[in-house]
Formats: sequence, C-alpha cells, structure tokens
Amino acid sequence: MTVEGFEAVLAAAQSGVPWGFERLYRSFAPTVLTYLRLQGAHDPEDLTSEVFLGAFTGIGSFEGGEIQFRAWLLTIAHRRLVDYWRRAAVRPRTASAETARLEQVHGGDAEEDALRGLELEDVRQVLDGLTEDQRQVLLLRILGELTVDQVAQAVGKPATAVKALQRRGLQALRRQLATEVVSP
Amino acid sequence: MSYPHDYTDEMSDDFSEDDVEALLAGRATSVVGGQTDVTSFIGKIRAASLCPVPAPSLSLRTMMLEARPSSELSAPAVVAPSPFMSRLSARLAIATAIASIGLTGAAAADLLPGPVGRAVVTVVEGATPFQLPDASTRPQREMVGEQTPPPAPADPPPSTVGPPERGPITPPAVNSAEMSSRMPAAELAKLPIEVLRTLPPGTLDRLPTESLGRLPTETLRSLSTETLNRLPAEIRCALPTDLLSRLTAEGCRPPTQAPGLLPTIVR
Repeated sequence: MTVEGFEAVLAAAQSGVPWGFERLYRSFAPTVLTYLRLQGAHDPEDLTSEVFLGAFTGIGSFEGGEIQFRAWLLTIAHRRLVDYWRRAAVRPRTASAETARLEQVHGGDAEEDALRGLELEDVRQVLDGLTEDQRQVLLLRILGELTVDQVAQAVGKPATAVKALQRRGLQALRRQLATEVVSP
Repeated sequence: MSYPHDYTDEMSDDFSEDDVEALLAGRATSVVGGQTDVTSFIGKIRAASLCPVPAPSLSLRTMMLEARPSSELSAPAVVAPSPFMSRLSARLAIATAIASIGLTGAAAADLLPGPVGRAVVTVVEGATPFQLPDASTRPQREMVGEQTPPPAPADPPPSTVGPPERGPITPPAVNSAEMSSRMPAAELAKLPIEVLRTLPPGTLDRLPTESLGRLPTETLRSLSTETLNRLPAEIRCALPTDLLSRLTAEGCRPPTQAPGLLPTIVR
C-alpha cells in the first residue's frame, strides 16, 4: 500500500498533528499486525499499538521516504517482538494455537473474516515449517520490503547470513508447498 | 500414489541470487521446479497484510489525538487550528473518551437503546479510524483506510503542516451535544475534564454532585442556579462573588444577602 502525499503526512505527524498520526497508523498498522501475527505473537493487536507508540515517540528524528518508514516500523516491530519473547519467556504461537484466535481477525463481515482467518491459518501453517530465523528474514523482506542490509541490521546478523537464511527459507518453502500438493 | 520427495529431483535444489530477489519481489522467474508455488505463496503473505486496521490501544489513541508540543520535535511550525479543526478536535476527544469508558463496547454489543447505540456508533466511526465490530445490526460500511483510503492531504504549503481542507477525517453526522445529552449521568461523570468543558450547560446540569466539583470556575458559570446549589458546601463557599450571589441554598450566600448565615460557615 502506498500513502499518497507521504511527505506531508510524515511532516504532520512529526509536528504532532493528530491527522498525521492517524493516517500513518491507518496505512501501516495492517502490515505490522500481519507481521506480528505470522511471527506467532501472542497478542499481536496490543503489540502493534506498542510498535506505533514507540514509532510515534521517536518520529521526530525519522528521516526518509515511505519505503524507509515501512522498513523502520518493521524493524521496531521485530525488536518489540524479540523483547516480548525475552521478557515473557514465551515462544511463538503455533499455527494450531492460532486457530483458536481466528474469530479475532475481525473486520465487520463474518464470512469474509472467516475466509481471511483461514487463509492466514494456511500461511501460518506453511511458515511453521521454517526455522525461526528463516521466517523472520523472509517476513521482513516480504512484508517490510526491507533490503538485505536492512534485515541484517534489524536481526543483528551479517548480510551474508541473511542471504543464506532467505535462500534456505525459500527452499524450505518450496519443499513444504510441494508436500502439500502431493498430500492426499 | 506419490510422495513428497518424488518431485525433489525435478527441482533445482538451489536458488540463484537473482531467483531469490525475483521471488521476494513477487516475480516468478520460471514455471518449473515449484517456483510458481513459492511466488503464489509470497503473494498470499502480502495479501494477508490487507487486513482491516486494528483498533489501537487506549494509550496509542490518546497519543494520536493529542498534539504534542512542537518543542519536542525538530519540525516545522504548526499553524493555529481553524475553527473547523477545533470543533473536530472536541468531537474526537468526546468520541475517544466514550470509547475509553466502554460505551462503545456497549453500543457494539447492542446493549444501549437503539438511538443511543446508533449515535455512539456513528460518532465513534465518523470521528476516529476505528470501527465497532458489530456487523449484524447495521449496514456494512467499507473499512476505513483499507482498500480505498480517503483522499490524501492536498499538498499543504511547505511552511505549514496544517490539516488539509478536506482531511481524512469526516466529521460525525451526530453532533457531540446531541449525543452527550443522551448519555446517562453516570457515564457523563466518567468523561475527562477536557471533554466536560466542551459540553453544553444543559448537559452539565445533569452531572452528579460529586463531579460538579471537578469543573473549572468558568464552566461553573454556565450552570443553572439549581445546579450551583447542589455543589458541596466547601466548593460553594469558595465560589467567586458573581456566582455566590446566584446561590439560594442556605449555608453559603454572600454576606450582603445572608449575613446571618455566614458565621456558621466562616467559623
């Protein structure tokens, strides 16, 4: 999703104008939420709010365009998630546990919500076949559209390690998807 | 019958760097070897991010609705808000306060009487980016900011960052005075002082006695005499002279009007 007039919106938010915050939130919160959900966060909605609280607090010092802003948000999301796991000594939610939360993926239309929930569940089940590092790197690259170097910075690994992780992650995905195709 | 690894040999076991970049960018570089499946799966991940905007937490909502002091930021100066934005801010504050005290939950759950529930839903949805999750009792509306975002701000002048004339927030169809006039007194009492100050006098007169004491003096001036008389004695006696002169309740009238009663209080 692209934000029309991103620079003006960012300037408004950096000056503390409410509609600037609101517009940034509307534009980027779904991406952050999806990242946290697919990473198995236990309370992704709450964590999404925490991410934006952190981002809006430090937005005055942010410099860059929309792509950099998305990458910045996802980097914050990743760090919050790691902090959360460390603090709570919990591990990512598994796909089966996520099933119980499908009804929470609400948007106003019950049928649409159910379908969206099932699709999300399918995606999560496949991603569960990856290692935590592979999933992390791939989601940051796909959802956050981070470059290899940005991912490396976010996860604290060398760029070569990130490249290896994403390649192995894609191989694992391909194997997993092939398994699904041939399963009865 | 086929098995998962039957197909393994048909695939290239490794991706080139170009393949990886193409796949992550959503471009299938080849239709063989399962890359199309991977591309399609990556598309599903992207599609998953087109979910509705989640409701922000109370602290985030508060932060988003309050303009921060510009001294904290190295940002351009903010122009004074227009009357339209002032009214809008008041409505936003009311909508947020209502949401925070759970009235929205009651409205969403259809626990409020029909007109009140609808008024709350209209105000909250109209004034904030948040939708109440009750789809069954009212017509479907497109999720705000999802597939079809509202018009972008129309290039504000570089020296100002004021809101555009046609900003992303649509003023609510029901005004705050009308809505607040329908709120139960107990709910009114839970509203923050910033919101109470914006309410019309008739509504303030319905506040419980213990909440009247929270009102600033200038707001007290808009209260009826009957309501002023309900103020606790310690507040009543501290009122400025113009308000004291309006009191009819015994216990604390201005000396010129009730000198005989004064010693019992002043003592």
